[in-house]
Amino acid sequence: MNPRALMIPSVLAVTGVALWSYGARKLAADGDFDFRPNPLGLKQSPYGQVIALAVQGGIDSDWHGVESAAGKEHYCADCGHNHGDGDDACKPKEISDPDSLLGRLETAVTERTNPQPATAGHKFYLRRQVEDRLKLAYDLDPSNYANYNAYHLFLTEPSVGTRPVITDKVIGLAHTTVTYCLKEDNDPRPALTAASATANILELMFIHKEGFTIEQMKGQLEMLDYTLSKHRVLTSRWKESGDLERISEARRIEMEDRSSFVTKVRDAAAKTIERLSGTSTQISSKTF
Amino acid sequence: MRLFRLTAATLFRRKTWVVCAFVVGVLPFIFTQISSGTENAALWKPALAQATWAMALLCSIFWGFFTAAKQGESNAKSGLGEYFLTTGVSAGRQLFEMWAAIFSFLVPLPLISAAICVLAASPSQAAERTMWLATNFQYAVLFLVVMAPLVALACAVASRLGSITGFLTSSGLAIYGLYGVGYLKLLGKTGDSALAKWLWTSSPHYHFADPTERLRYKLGAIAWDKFPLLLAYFGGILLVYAALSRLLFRARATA
Repeated sequence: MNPRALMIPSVLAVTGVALWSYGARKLAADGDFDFRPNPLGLKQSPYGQVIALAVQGGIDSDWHGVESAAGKEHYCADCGHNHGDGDDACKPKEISDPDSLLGRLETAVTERTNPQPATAGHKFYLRRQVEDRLKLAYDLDPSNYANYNAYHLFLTEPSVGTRPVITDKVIGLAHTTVTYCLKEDNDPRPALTAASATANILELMFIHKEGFTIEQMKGQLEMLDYTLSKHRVLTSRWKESGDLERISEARRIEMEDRSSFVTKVRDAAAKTIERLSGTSTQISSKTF
Repeated sequence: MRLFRLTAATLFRRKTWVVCAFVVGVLPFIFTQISSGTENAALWKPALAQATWAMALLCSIFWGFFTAAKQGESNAKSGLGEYFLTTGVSAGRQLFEMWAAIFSFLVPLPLISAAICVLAASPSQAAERTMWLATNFQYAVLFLVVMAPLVALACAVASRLGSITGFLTSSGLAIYGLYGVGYLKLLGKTGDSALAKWLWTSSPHYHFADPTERLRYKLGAIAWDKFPLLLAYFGGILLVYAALSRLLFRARATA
């Protein structure tokens, strides 16, 4: 390439670098460079909500793997896994036709043949895998009731979680979930997740009651009432418009079960607050 | 413009553009059936908007850059580039003509996406609809400014180092700029290291040209006083890549 032909690329490059660095400096200064990576915008999207449901199946089987790696030797006749003492842990695996070739192949590749119990380290690793998937499911759809509550359980329950976090962070997660869920003005289900998150905050307040005032608890109870009423309003609106028919029977029943459960939790919480405000701190948080 | 016509005719006859047209124009409607838009009617439009823009991005990255790399390599290896050199078409001119032909197949993609968003997924409120129109227009422009130099780069790198390298260079840069830089920030805690901070600041931040989230949350159009800054930023990257492509491109296999 002769020097004259080099001129054009050089001019282009110099101008380009100048513009690029000017733009980059301006954009970086404005804080526009900070962003939350979200490939194809999947997280918190209508597709993320579906993927989050699909991830739950994977979490189930991962958890089954953790359970089956338990130390005590008791091999389940149904799935060949070692469930230790807990017979209830196993639900027979649904292989549609166990005698067919595919059924036998599935049994062959899924049964546990290792007689050695898993080590504590291995079980910890498996639990961490489950926790990471729960976090992913939560990120994909924070308004999903099961995803939020399972993740909350992992964060608060030291026997299952692998990264114990302080109560403030768990409460922070619950607040984020409530804010996110209350933005939804059509689907009644996120309001239930918000109600559940508020109930979780209340539960943590009762456990650490020395750090919170009765007024703060009452404030959360009001929030719980608000989320439940929003759920009821949106449900009746969906019933009127016929949109409720869009969701399957199983999901409708699931929603009603969750609604009645959270309502019971709300009533219990109201009584606990009543007692706490009456007889101060002598009441054990177990009444909740 | 004989090489332009030859490349455009070749791409047209190869018919793979039909797949892209289908993926961007029809598939998003099918995708909404596997979104939660089936349960919550309010989510159907956001799901459609998200899918069509995501498909336009994927088609450009996978089909557009692959096609550019393939053309760049075959031009150098088949002797076509050498033939055009003997007829007086310089290497720079050849790169430009091939780029123009390939790019003309990519230009409709964001336009289809914008059209689907405007015609089928427009918000119901009139004020929001005007913003929606502007947002889609802005992203169609940004999309093209981002993709244009990457097509040339894929073509140029492939002419020297082979089509796989050309394809991976452009698609890698695009994916890194769209998502990787965000993870780099999360991984590196860039406040601690000047080098990491410099690397992060000087990376091409293509995520500015990704409309999927902005459209879904109906954040409105990018402020018009900030839009020229974005154009200058991506224009700068365009010029640098154009210069780099010109230097890397060769019209015949032996230099």
